[in-house]
Amino acid sequence: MTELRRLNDGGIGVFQQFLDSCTTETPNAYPATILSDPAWSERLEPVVTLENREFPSRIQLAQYLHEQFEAANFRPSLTDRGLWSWIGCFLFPDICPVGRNGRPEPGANARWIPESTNWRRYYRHLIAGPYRIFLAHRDDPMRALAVLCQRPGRPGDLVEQLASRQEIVTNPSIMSVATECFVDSATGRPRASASRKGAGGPRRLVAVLEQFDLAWDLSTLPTGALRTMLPREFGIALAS
Amino acid sequence: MPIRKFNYTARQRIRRSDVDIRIRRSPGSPAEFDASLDLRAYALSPDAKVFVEAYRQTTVMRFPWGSASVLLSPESRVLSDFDGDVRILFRAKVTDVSGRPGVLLAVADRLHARETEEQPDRRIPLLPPEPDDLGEELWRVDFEGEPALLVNRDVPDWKAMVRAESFRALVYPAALRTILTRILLREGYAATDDFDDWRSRWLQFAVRIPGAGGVPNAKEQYEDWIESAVAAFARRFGMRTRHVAAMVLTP
Repeated sequence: MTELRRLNDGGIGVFQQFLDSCTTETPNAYPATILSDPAWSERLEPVVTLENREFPSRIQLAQYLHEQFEAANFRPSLTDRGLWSWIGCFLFPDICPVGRNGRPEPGANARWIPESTNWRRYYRHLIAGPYRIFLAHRDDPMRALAVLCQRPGRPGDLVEQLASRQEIVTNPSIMSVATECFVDSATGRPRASASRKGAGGPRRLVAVLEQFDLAWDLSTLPTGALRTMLPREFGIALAS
Repeated sequence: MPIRKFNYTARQRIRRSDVDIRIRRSPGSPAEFDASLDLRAYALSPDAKVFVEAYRQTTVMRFPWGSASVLLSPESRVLSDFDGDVRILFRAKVTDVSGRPGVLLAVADRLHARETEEQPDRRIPLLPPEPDDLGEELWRVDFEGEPALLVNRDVPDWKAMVRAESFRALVYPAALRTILTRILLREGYAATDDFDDWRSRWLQFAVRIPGAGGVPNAKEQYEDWIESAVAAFARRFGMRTRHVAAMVLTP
């Protein structure tokens, strides 16, 4: 178990350089030392411990963090750049996708170092992103499985479409319906419809919901009512 | 195929001047807000429910505010779910309960709160600067809510930086280009007559710059018009001249 810390500006800089180097032919070595070296990171109170392990899905990752934070009575700030960068760096070996050449493919820096105040990118952090959604649906996180069932390192287009829209990702009824549409309840994995680009797919659902949002107060609509309002194409998705 | 959006339920837009949101901050405790709504000018069912929602990213708090005929603020208006109290936006909704339950009758969205001690300011700043964590970037135009000029808060005196002639000369024309591009080319919005819509207010601002001219009707001409408007803006405020003068003063 490792004690959770917060990267300072220098530590974030080192991590950023490492991420940038992953796109070159000569990537830097993984900067493990910044996680514990007081020159690059600082201690936190209360003490929270984390361990490196496999996380098959975003919900398992978010659940794990939630439990660790709760156990320590720690309420992390969602805008704490140093904290979430530390967690990003710590879990990098566990969740970063690896390319065919065996090299890590971290993608955009916002996936590891949060841009908490950038409304177009804040949800893209691979750890704070699912944790935020888990927290927003903490009374029943399974309803948000549509955006939490993916592997932590590969959230995909369904997450991009739904999580990028505040009115959608925070609405319990909408997220329940999205989960019905796009997640196989037997396996907990995304259905084929989750990657459709056209009818019955996530982009189409978003377009339909945005139209509904103009006419209805979606916060007051129960899940059942919303399901019946959806066009037939999503009925097909539900049955597929 | 994109879905065109229709206002087929005749939803009304509540004017910004009819909603006043005040926020009160006290150190060490979550912020609290209050709201005054004036719905007399709108044709609403008397029993329609009114809600005020506070939101930022994945955090939303919803407060029942009585009915269209009897507005009633809830006892607690503490923004306890928010992590800090900056950049929280608000929306007011009026929802039908008797005719077509759940139908949105009227709405005002992307409302900013003012501090309780501030006087209501009917002049709307087009591009308020706001300090923010921008890493190594110095500034950025933000479009959450209405456009804001985010300025790196880790610059020793960000307010002085924003006031500096060189900063204005280098940043504001670029910011104007970004905003007009967003409005016309990304959102395809070209109306200049809706003062409640920030996009209209920006287009009006640009149209009034001497030499910019009106927004063209043809979409193919938008890009060219944006360039003309930005050039006219730079001329109007003598950006190059002011920049050069500032350089001479601070070699």
